[in-house]
Amino acid sequence: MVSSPSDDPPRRRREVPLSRRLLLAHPRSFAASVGGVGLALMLILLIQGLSAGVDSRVVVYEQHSHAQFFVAQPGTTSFLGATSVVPKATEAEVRRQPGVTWTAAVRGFFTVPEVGGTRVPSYVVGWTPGERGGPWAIGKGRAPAADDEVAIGRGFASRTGLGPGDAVELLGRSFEVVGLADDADMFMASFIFMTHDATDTLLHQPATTSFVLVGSSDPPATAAALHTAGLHALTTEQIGANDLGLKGQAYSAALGFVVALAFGVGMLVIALTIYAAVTEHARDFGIIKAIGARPARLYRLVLTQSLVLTTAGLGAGALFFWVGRRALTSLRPQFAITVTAHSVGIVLLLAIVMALAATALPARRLAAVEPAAAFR
Amino acid sequence: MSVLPSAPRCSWLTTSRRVPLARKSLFEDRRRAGLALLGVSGGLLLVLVMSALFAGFTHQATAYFDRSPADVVVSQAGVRSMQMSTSSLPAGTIDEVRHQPGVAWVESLRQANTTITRPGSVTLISYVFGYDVRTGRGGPQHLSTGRPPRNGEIVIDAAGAEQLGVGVGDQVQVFGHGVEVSGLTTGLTSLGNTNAFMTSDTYALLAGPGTNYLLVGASPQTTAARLAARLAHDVPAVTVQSRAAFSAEDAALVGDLYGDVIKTMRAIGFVIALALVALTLSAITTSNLREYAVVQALGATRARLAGVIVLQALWAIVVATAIATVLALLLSRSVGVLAPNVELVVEPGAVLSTLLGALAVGAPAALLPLRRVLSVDPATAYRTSS
Repeated sequence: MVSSPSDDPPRRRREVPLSRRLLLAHPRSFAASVGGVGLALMLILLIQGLSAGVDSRVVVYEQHSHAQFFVAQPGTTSFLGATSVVPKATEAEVRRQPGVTWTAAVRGFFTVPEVGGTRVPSYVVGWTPGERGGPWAIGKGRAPAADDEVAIGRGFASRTGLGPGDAVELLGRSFEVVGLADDADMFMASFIFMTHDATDTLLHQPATTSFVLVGSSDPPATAAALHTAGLHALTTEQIGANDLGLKGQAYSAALGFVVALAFGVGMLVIALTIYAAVTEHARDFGIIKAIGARPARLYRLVLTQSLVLTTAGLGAGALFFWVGRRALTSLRPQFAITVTAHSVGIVLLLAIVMALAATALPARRLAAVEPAAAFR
Repeated sequence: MSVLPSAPRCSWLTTSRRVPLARKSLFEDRRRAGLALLGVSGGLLLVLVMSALFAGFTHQATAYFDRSPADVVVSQAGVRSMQMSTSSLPAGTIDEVRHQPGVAWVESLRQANTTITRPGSVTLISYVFGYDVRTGRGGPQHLSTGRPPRNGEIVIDAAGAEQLGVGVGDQVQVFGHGVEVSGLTTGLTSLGNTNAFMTSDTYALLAGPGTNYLLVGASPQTTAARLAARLAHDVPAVTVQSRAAFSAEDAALVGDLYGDVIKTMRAIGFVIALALVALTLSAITTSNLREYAVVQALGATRARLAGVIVLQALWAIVVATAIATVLALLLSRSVGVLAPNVELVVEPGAVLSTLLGALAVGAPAALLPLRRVLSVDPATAYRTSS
């Protein structure tokens, strides 16, 4: 019971910690509640983390290209989202423009090689050895130099067990793996690097390329000149943003739905826990009301329980997330689950809203408790 | 409200007119029951929605080839699917295939992963197909409105058109060129992309010459599987699969890409359901401890009390699964309004596996309240409540 029904400050300090006692009256139930809230918050964190992880890898090629512009087929707005085919002669035309310091023709396309029964979605990049646009870091072995050589991303290697010296079949042709490329994996696909000539042969398109990467000492002048020449040039920032936008457009609805569901479930767990505590201790609340506790004091009681439960749930959620993340990334290295300030902020905000919204029904139940219940 | 048996004697313990103690105590407080069942349903809905999303995406990913009249699909060597793949067949392959025994017809299909844009509006990732409109075999098999494309025109999926905000007669940009929408098809937009169709001449004009896939029809004297096997043997420089096998490869790739994420989410949904069932039964048991003591004092065996808890768990799970199924079905019908590219397919097998999974997690969830009930002292019934 409470020792002080009044709200005057000196005596409130000696109040019985009613919220804590109500929550901990049944430690196992409290643990189940914390677990439920924690799982819901972990799910939201996981979704946010997966989304952030995908985002961080979608633009990895653009980030490492060091190009100012990507010249592509008209209508192409992204690197991964569309097939771009431009004449190889485009590169010479681009090189003539003012401010251009370097150019590199690269071809890119998706394929799904099967190695020992494992399908490995891959993005093949064909570039000219010695020029830019190829692998940015070779961790083991070397970069391809001949038309029958490839470097594969670490993710590809770990999923298939392939390494330097092994053979891999791509689009019906056999290639020797000569190197493992570091930091060359995305969420669902790994990069494979080979010579541009090899991609020409594979796709039966000898006189074309996909993109011309452009370095410039005077980007505004180069951009204007490329535009005047009728070439479709996007800045690296634009093409990266478009890749991210297409990814978001594809999955945001589904991810948002799961987050909403997890939010609802977490809220119901909190509401159920507090509601059960209020119901179980209806007689005690009747006594509190009978000795003069104001409605605000009772609501504060419910709110405190909700916040305590949510805080404990946040702790549990963080722990579950840490364990889940480790398990998922060790079992499936292609999943990049990233924690960002943005995702943590969203989870904290949702947790607060969850805690507040969950008090509605228990508060109504509490308001309905009659002081006379104390004497029954 | 009391959950005591209404009969004056203890005949309810042994006859078929027993008081439905489990159900009555579960639903005694309707708000609590509502919260609990909604909570458990939420966990199970998560499981069902994950399954439905996965089934929907798989269905979307294979929709084009599932509707195709082709018996066999020929692709570049090493290419076994259309998802995340690029296929380019050597010139002359179509003639080589056409002259094989058992081939009734063969058609060249153009296909590229590109984007469709309405100027000033959104951009959608799309598989764009170029096909022979005279036969229509490689095109959309059904148009909801409009007509097949002529040169300079395109047919797009209605869900994609809605996202783009265009209709028949409007202009969209493909491969950097403007084309007019001549018709709309349905069921060919997925989470990842949409589908669009133009004449093979327009395709070649905008994207260059070539052949990406061959669609092959089998003569009546053979079957798809036999023809695929024969072509694979006689035309070894390409990949030959029956249409069903090709679709299965696409579906398997979707499974490879998203299966682990879906399984993880499903597992979390089940564990949330477990926590909620445990929480619900625990709360009900705690608030009805005195009633359980009365029942025990009246002669109920421990097995009978245990049965009450198990029945409560069963009630909670079955009702929650039913609620979750209804909600999932409602969602599957309404999700298109909010997100035209999302399809939820609630399969009976998924509902059954969710129910079985929920029953499996319900068993450990019942242990906590079970221990409390079995340790109740019948003398509690004669004490005044504290």
